[in-house]
Amino acid sequence: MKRNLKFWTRFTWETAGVDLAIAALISLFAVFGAEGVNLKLFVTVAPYFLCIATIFGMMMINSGAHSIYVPLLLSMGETRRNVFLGFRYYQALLITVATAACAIIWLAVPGEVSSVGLRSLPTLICILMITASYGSIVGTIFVKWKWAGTVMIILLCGGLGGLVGFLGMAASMETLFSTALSMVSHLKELPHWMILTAFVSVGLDLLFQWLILRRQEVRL
Amino acid sequence: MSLICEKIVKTYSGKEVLHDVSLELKESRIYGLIGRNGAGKTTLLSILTAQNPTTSGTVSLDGQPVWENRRSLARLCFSRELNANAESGLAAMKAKEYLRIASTYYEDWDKEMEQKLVKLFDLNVKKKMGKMSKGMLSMITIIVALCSKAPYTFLDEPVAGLDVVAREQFYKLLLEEYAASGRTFVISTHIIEEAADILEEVIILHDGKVILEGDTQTFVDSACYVSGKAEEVDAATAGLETHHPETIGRSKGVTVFLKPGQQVDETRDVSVQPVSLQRAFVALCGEEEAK
Amino acid sequence: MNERLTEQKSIYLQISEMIETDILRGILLEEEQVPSTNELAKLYTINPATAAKGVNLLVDGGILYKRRGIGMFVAKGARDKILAKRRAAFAENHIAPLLAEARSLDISKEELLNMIGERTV
Repeated sequence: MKRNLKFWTRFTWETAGVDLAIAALISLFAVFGAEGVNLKLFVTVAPYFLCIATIFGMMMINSGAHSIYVPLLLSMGETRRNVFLGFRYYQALLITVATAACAIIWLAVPGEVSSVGLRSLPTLICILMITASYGSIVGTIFVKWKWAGTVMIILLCGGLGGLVGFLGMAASMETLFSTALSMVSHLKELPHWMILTAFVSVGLDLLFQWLILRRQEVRL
Repeated sequence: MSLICEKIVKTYSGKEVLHDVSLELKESRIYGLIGRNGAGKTTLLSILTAQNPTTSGTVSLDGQPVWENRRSLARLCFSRELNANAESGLAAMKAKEYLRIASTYYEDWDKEMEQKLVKLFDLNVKKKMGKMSKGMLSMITIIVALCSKAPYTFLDEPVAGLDVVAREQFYKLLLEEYAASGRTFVISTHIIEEAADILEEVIILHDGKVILEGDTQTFVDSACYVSGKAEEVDAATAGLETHHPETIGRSKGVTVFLKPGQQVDETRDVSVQPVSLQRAFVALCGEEEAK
Repeated sequence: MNERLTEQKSIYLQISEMIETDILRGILLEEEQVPSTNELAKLYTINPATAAKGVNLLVDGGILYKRRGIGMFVAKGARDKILAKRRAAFAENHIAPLLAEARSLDISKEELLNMIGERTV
C-alpha cells in the first residue's frame, strides 16, 4: 500500500499542476477580456477559475488514467483492490487540495466575493465530486467499449467547449466578472438534489469501476 | 518454492485459447516458453501473473493463490512486450516515466542496475515510447525484468527487434543475473535457435495446450533426423513416433522422437543425425504445413 | 576454451571435451583452477546446469576434482588419463571413418599407407 500511496500522491500533484496551468490560461483569457483589472477582485475570483480547471482536468485525466495507468499498475503486480483504492484516494485528495486552495485564498483576501465563495464551498465540492465520477465512468467505459467512450468524450469536450465559449462571449459582451459573479452567487445555495446527485455519481462510479476492474484484462 | 497452475482454461468470447493447462515452475530455473503465433503464450503468462483472470483453474505460489494476493504478486514480475503504437496509452509516455513507475511498484528494484543497463543499451529514456523502435522497447522490457529482482520473472519476446549484438548482450546479462541471484526466469521467444542453449527447461505450447514440458537437453537428445531411401527409413523407424516426413523422389527424411529404451534400427542403410531444439519444435508443431 | 559450439553434439559433451583439449594442450595445467560453471555458462551463453553437467562428467572421470567452497581443479595425472582415453578412441573415431571412405573411393591399403607416409605427424 505504501508504494500505491506514493504513486497516487505523485499522480495527484502532477494533475494539480495541469489544473493550475489550465486555471492560469483561463485567467489569462479573463484578464484580456476585461477592461481594466481590479487586482483584489481578480484574486478573489481566481478560485473559481481553479475549480473550472479542476473540472476540466479531472474529466480529461480521470478518463486517461483508466486507459493508461490502471492496466499499467496491474501489469506491475498491483492488486485490483489497491488500484481501485488508490484511484479513490487520488480523487479525494485532488478535490480536497483544490477546495482547500480556494478556501485559503478566500480567507486570506476577505471581501464580498470571498464571503460568497466560502459559502459556496459545499456546492463546489459536490460539483467536483460529480465531475470526478463522470470522468472516471467515461474512462471505465472507454477501456471496455472504445466507441462508447469516444462518443462520451466528444460530448464532454463539446459541453466544456460550449461553457468556455459562453464565458468568452460573456466577457466580450459586458465584463466577465459581473456575469460570472451573478452566476456563481447561485452556488452558495446547496440544493438537496445536488447532494443526492453527488452521492449517486460517486456510488455509480465505485460500482461501475469495480465491476469492470474485477475481470479486467491487461493490455498495454 | 514453486509456482503451480492447475487446469487453466481461458475463453475469449466463446473461443477457447487455453485448454486445461497445468504446469509447475520450480525455483531457480530458466524456462523457455515456445509456441507458434497465437498459441496462447502471452495469455498464459498473463494468467500466471494474475494480470488476466482465468475462465477456470487456479494459479498458486507456494500454496498461496496469486489472484489479488499482494504478497504473492510482489514475488512475480511479468515484463510485458511493449507495443507503443498510436492506439496504446503508452505511446505518449516517456520511457523514464515507465521505469519510474516500475521502480515504485517493484519492492526490490535495483536502481543501480537500471542506470547501468540504460547506459549499456545506450537508451534515450527521455524519448516517448511511441517514438521508439521495437528494439528500444524490448530493451525496456529487459530492464524492467532484470531490475525488478522478482524471484519469478517472466519475459515476453524480450529479444524482438534487437540486433544480434544486443541479443547476445541480453543472454549474457540474463545468465549473469541468474548465476548471481538464482531467480527463476520464464522466457517466451520465437528465436529458438539462439536461446536454446540457455534454456534449462522447455515448455511447448501448441494451440492452447502444453504438448511438452521438460529438460531441454533430454528433449533434444530424444529427437533425431533419419534420412535415406524411403523403404529403409520406414523400416528403421517402424514403431517409433515420427513427425514431419519429407520426401523427394526415392529419398525420405523424418524426425523421430524416441521414448526411453527405444532406438532407431541402425543396421538399415540410413543416416541418423541429431536435431536442434528448433528443428524438433518445427517437427512437433509444424505438422499441418507438412500435410 | 574458446572453440565454438556446434549443433552436432550435446553441449555438455562439447564442454567436457573442450576442457580436456585445453588440458592436453597445456592451456590448463594440473592443480590449476578451471573456470566456474557460471563463467563457462556466460562464455558460451549456455545454461549453468548444462555447463555443470559437462564439468561433472570430468569429475566422475577423475580429470577434475572439487575443492569445497573454492571450485574445480585439474587433478594430478589428468593429462595422462586424457591422453590414454583419446588414444584408445583414436582408432574407432578416426581410423575407422578413414578406412570406410578409402573403401568407397577404391583406395588400397598400400596407397593409403603411402599417403600417410608422405605426411609428417
